[in-house]
Amino acid sequence: MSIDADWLINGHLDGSLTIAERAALAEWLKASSENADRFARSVMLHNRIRVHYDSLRETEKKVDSIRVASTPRPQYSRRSIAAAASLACVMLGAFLYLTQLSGPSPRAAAIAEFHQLVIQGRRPADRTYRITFVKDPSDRPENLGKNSKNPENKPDDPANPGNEPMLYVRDGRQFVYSRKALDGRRFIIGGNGQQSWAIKPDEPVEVSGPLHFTEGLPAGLYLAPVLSFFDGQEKMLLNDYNIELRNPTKSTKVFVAVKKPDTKQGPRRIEISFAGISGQINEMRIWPETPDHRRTSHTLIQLVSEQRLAKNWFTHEFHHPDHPQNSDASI
Amino acid sequence: MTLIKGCKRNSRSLGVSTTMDEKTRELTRMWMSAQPIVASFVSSMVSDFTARDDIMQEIITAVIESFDTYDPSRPFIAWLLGIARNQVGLYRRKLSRDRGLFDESTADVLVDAFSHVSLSDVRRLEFLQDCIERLSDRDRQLCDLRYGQDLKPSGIAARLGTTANNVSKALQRIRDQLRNCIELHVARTERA
Repeated sequence: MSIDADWLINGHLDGSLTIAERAALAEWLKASSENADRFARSVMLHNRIRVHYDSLRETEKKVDSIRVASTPRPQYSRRSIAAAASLACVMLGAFLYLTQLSGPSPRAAAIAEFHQLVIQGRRPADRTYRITFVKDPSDRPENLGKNSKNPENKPDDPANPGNEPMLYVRDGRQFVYSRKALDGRRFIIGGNGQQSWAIKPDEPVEVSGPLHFTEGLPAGLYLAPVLSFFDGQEKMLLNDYNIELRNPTKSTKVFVAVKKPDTKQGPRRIEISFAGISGQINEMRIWPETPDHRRTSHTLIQLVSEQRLAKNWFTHEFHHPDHPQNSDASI
Repeated sequence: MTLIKGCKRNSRSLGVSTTMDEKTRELTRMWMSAQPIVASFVSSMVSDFTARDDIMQEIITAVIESFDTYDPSRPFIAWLLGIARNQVGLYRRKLSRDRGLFDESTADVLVDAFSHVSLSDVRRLEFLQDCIERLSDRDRQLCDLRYGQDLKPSGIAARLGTTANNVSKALQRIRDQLRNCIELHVARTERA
């Protein structure tokens, strides 16, 4: 069997073939029964690996059900992060050099600006962002009602801005996201780069791997310019979204990303406004994915401070209700 | 669907008289041994694990409903694959657009290929667990992301900060490694 056939079989198993490649694989399968038998054996192995991991997952679920979650997650050593960061810088440098030689296309210019935003976001600093859920006047009442079963997802009452969620970020890697439900109960998730954690009212603190609780963040892992957990995270957005740069020559630029039709995960649209010279992000707007595309309410993330936070701010111990430094519930 | 309807019509003429408990036991035994082959056939038609699981549920329901019609003189796996083929066809018609499914003629070729898979082929895969444990930490991490967390190469690449192409090549190498490891185990067992 040729190397191409191996590649096609494996591509099919991983769901990464193009339409033309899938057609080529189909033709190869029909060419001889030996080809089809070889393919069948590959799928048998593939399916058996899946069964193996299914059974592992079931076992883990049973273990998790009897103790606080502490699922091991991939750990990134300082050395591997440094190596990846160095490689990323070399790649970025090469990319910028090449775009200068040939004159950047609009997409290339947007990619270059985006990478600069990510680098800027990792500059050592503590940043505080206010999160606001912005209602669009065209929202239909019946659509807004769809969220009423889950008060945690409802927009905050504009008359009570103190309830607005806050996002705290250190060095673009550590985070604390604090929000109040309408009933006044506060939910906090966070991570210090080594582990992530969640504090829910009347429940024990949950601690897990560094990415586990990032799902509770608005836009999750698509926050790369504000908060990036691993090198290369920004590629998710560049791969999954059509991007463009607006006002490219003005002092305030806007990076716009619209999700590609074949992308399942992630918000529908992301806009990032930033200072043209410094690259400082002023605000980020995120439109969630909705089944009917009629809702246009969005989440607004605004930088409100770069004031230094307490050294242990990003540990869950700091945010326990009985922690002495947290008695005024100022977060 | 036509096959299932046809089977139901035949069941009345055959006048099957076995009790429900006996039938259930027999069906369970036969299904347990043949299920990996049917699941693999469905996996060959749909690469999405969730879709595969949904279709397998439909197949089990159809098999239970039409087991009365099964003619023991026919190969059981071929009969199951006929039902599976129909259920994949129904799934295809539910889709609003192409989701990576093979066409009808390719499906026929695959039904034929999986009909030739023997239960001893299935048993050879029992060595897989040992072979997975022999993988390097990095390779096991890739397997966990692909099979445990159901991420495609692009998603894995985003997690690990590499390219989808690199991940695809690594997954291909890991499967080759596992296949060779299983072959070694089988050869040793046969020699012993």
